[in-house]
Amino acid sequence: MKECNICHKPEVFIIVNTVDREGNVQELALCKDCAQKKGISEIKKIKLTPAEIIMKLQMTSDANDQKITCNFCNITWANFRTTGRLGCEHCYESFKNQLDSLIKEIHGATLHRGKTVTSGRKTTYDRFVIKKLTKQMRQAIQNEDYEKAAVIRDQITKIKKGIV
Amino acid sequence: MENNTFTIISRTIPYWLVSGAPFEDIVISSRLRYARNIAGYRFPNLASNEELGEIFEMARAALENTQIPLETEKIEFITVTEFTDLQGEFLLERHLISPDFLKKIKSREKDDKNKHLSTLGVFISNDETISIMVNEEDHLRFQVISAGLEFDKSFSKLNTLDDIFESTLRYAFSPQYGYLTACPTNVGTGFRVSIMAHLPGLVLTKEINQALNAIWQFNCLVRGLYGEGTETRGYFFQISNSITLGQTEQEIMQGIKNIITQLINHEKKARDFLLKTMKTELEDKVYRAYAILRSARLLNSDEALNLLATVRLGVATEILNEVSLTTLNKIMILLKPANLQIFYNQTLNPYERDEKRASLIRTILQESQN
Ligand SMILES: [Zn+2]
Ligand SMILES: [Zn+2]
Repeated sequence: MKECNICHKPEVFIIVNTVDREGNVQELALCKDCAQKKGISEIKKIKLTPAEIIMKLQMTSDANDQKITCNFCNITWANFRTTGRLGCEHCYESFKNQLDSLIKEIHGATLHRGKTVTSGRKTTYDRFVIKKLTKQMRQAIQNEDYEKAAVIRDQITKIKKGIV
Repeated sequence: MENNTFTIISRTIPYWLVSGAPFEDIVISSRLRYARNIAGYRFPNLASNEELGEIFEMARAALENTQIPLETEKIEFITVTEFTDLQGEFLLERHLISPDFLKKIKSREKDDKNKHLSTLGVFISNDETISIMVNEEDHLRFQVISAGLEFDKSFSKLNTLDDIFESTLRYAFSPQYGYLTACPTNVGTGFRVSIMAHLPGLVLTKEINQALNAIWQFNCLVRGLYGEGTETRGYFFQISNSITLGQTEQEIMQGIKNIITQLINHEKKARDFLLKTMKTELEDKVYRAYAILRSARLLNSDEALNLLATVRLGVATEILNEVSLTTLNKIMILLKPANLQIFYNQTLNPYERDEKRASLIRTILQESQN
C-alpha cells in the first residue's frame, strides 16, 4: 500500500506531478488531509497531458541542442524544443535519440500499430514531383550545373518508369 | 466559396445535428480525424509558400480525380480558399475547421505576392459531415462528424477518404512510428476521437470533478467546447484520446467508447437523482431558462448558451416537451456571433448581435411550438 509522501499515513488520495524550475517532474502522493493543506482541491490531474509534456521540454536546455540538426529541413533540436513542432518527416530519424524517450513519455509506446500505407501507384504525387523536379532541372541547366541536371533527369526517368 | 454560399448553409442545420442519434440526450457529436503528411515536403510550419501551394493542388487533384463512393447519395465537396475573418469564425463555430486553422487564416498576409497560389484551404462536404483541412499543422487533416455516439459509419467514411487520397499520393510513413506528423503527440495512427458531451447532471450534483479525474486516468483529455484553451460553458465538455501511438484505431475507439459509456451512466444517475431529490428546483430552473429564451430582448452568446443548456436538460429529462432537441441544436449553432451575422448577411456590432440573437431565438422557439 502506498503512503502519503508528507505524513506517511497509509492512504493516498491523489498523486500529483510537480514540475520544478529545472523541468524535473516529481510524483507526489498525498492523503486527503495533506492535499487539502497544500491547496489541492479534488480536481487535479494525476499525470501530464501530451501538451504539458511538450511544454515541459521548453524548460530544459542543453548547449548541444543547437548542434543536433535535421539535414533535410535544417531545424535544430533546440528549435523543436521551443516550438514543439518538427520540420519534416526526416526529423524523426535525425532526432531519433531524443524523440524516442519523448514519444515513450507521451504515448507509453514507441512502436506503431494500426493502419499502414499501401504501395500503389502514386499518380497525382508523381505528376507533382515530376513538375517540381523539371523546374529544378531547368534551374540547374540555367546555372550551367549540368551534373546536377543529369542527376535530376535520371530521377525523373525513374519516376516515369515507376521504379521509385 | 461565394458569399451567398455561406448565407445558404448558414440557414440550414448541419446534417450531424439532426436528432434521432444514439445517446443524443447526452452526447452531442462524435468527431473522428486523421492527420496525414505528404512525403518529401516539409511540414506546413516550415514549408515555403511554393511547397504549400503544391500540396494544396495535390490535395485538390486527389479529391477531384476520384469518384467518392462514400454514401449512396453523392457527396459534393465545397472548396474554400478565400476567407474573410468572419467566414473563418463561422467555419470554426460549425466545427469544420480548428482554432489553429482560424489563427492561420487571420495571420495570413492579405496581399501576398504569391496570391495566385492557394496555400491554405478546406474541403467541406455539402452535408457538413466531412471536412478536409489542407496545411493546418499537418498537410492533411480529415474529419468526419456524426451526431450522438456513433463511430462505425464515420470510421468507414474516414478510411475511404484516406484510401482515396493515399491511392494517388505518397504519405510520410515509417514502419516504427507510423504516420509522421508535425507534432509527436499525433504520430502513429494520427487518429483522434473527440466526443462532445452535455453533462449538466454531473455538474449540478458536483460529481463532475471526480468523473473528469477518472477520465484523465484512462488516457483521455477533457476540454472546453472549441478545443484547447477554451473554457467549458453550458456544461459542455469535449473528451478525446490522448494517445495515438501503440494502439490500433479500433483499440482507441473502444477505449473512448468504454469511458463515454461509463460517463453516460453516471450522467443518467445524476439526472435521476436530481429528479428525485430536487424536482421542483430543477423544474423551476428549466422553466425560468425557457421563459427567458422566449421573451428576452437582448441576449449575449454566453448567456444564451447557458440558458439553452439548461433547457436541453429539461427536454432530456422530459420536464419540458414543447421543444425538440433538433430545434435546440439549431439554436446552439445559430446563436454564435459569426453564424448569426452570416445568417443575417450583415456585420453587426455586439449590441445589435444581442438584439438579433434574442429575436432569432424567440422566432425559432415560437415556430417550433406550432
Ligand atoms: Zn498526509
Ligand atoms: Zn527535418
